[in-house]
Amino acid sequence: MDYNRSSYFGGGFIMFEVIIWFFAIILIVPVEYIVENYFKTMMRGQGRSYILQPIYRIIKLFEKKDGTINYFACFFSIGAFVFSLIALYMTVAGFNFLFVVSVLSMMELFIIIGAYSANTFSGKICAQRAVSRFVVLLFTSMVAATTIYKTTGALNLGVLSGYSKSNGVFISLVFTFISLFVILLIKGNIGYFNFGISGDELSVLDAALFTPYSGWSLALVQMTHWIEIGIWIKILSIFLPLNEWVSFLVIMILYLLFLLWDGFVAKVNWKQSAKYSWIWAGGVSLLNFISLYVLR
Amino acid sequence: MGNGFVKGVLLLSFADLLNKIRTRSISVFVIQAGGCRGCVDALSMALSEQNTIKGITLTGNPKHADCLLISGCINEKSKEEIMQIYEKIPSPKAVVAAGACACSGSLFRRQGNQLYIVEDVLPVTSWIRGCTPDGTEMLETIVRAMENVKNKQAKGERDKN
Repeated sequence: MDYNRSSYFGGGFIMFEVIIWFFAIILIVPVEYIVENYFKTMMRGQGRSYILQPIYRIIKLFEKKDGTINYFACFFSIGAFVFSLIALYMTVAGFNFLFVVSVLSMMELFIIIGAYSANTFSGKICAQRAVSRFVVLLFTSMVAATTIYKTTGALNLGVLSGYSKSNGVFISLVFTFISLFVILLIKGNIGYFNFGISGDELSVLDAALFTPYSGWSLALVQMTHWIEIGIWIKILSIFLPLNEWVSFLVIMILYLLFLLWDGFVAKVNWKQSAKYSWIWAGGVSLLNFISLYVLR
Repeated sequence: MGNGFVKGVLLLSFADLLNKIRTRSISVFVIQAGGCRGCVDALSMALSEQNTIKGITLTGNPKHADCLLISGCINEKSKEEIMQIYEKIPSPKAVVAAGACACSGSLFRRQGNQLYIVEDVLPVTSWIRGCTPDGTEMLETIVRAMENVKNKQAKGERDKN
């Protein structure tokens, strides 16, 4: 059976499923943040907020206006948003993993250049940190791609999804899975992997660090960030030997647990975050690489 | 609830709905200009308590902020920084002076150190007096200040039209 969905372009049910996945991923990540907000509201000492506060925040951002308009920031935020949608489509349609990573890289570069465009001190610092995060992501993705290809002989997400159901891919690629999950945590600015430049708050403790994105361009960056998290959850879900929706749900719950855990751990310096990211994403993915290419 | 709720929802105009949303998600940028930090601590305590006021979060990013809360006396050096941060906050925005130092100078008044109260530096929307002010009162004031700003903005738009 050909599991590659991209070969079924325009073909009835598969295309319908792709569309369902596309919109489901866009909607599910905000729902995840709403659930996190709900649990945190119930916890003592975590502050009280409305359940729909993540959505309110986005709507509010769309309405805010700066004194001057930075056209570069607007252009780059729109660009990043478009690329995130393309990457999302490629993911749900089962394209090659490296194609998806390259489009996500383009998206990330748009955000970085936008942050740099205002030529302010704070924007430059944000861009610098984003680049250091981006390097970890690229390295881990490359190593993960080689190990996935060595194990399965394919990189198409559609093929991998079918393959993982009938073979023990998860067991032989467990370190790759962990490293890609750490990429998800880095993207979500969670715990010790928080570089302090998230789309969520774009801030660091005790310092006013901000980018030129403001008002609706910041809201677009935030939505891009949510879509990107959805993409990584979908990519991770293909490793599990379960039904696509069930494995997606499992990864979502795992991510939710880490979101809640984030409320109880101290924030670390961004250089410390970079160190942890290299160890847990780059280093752990290398373990799988060594076990497949050197030890075998 | 029932009928009243449905009627309320139907009668709400889009602008009212947006106004409601804005006051349900208030990001506060706190500046401790100089003082004992009592006001900031009281605010943090109030935020972590299970009180009736919801939807207020602290942010370290002026681009996300709706409200600038300043406590303590402002000196010559911090004045510039505060003004820069105020300019970075996109409108609509509110400025709240919290505590006796920020409102009137308190103990530090006429000390000859070029000290300013918040009103000398920025257009203040609301004042919270007291040393140290009550935390819940601070939260209430932040919500009222945001409502004031929105109402003024809505009035301004109406007048323009």
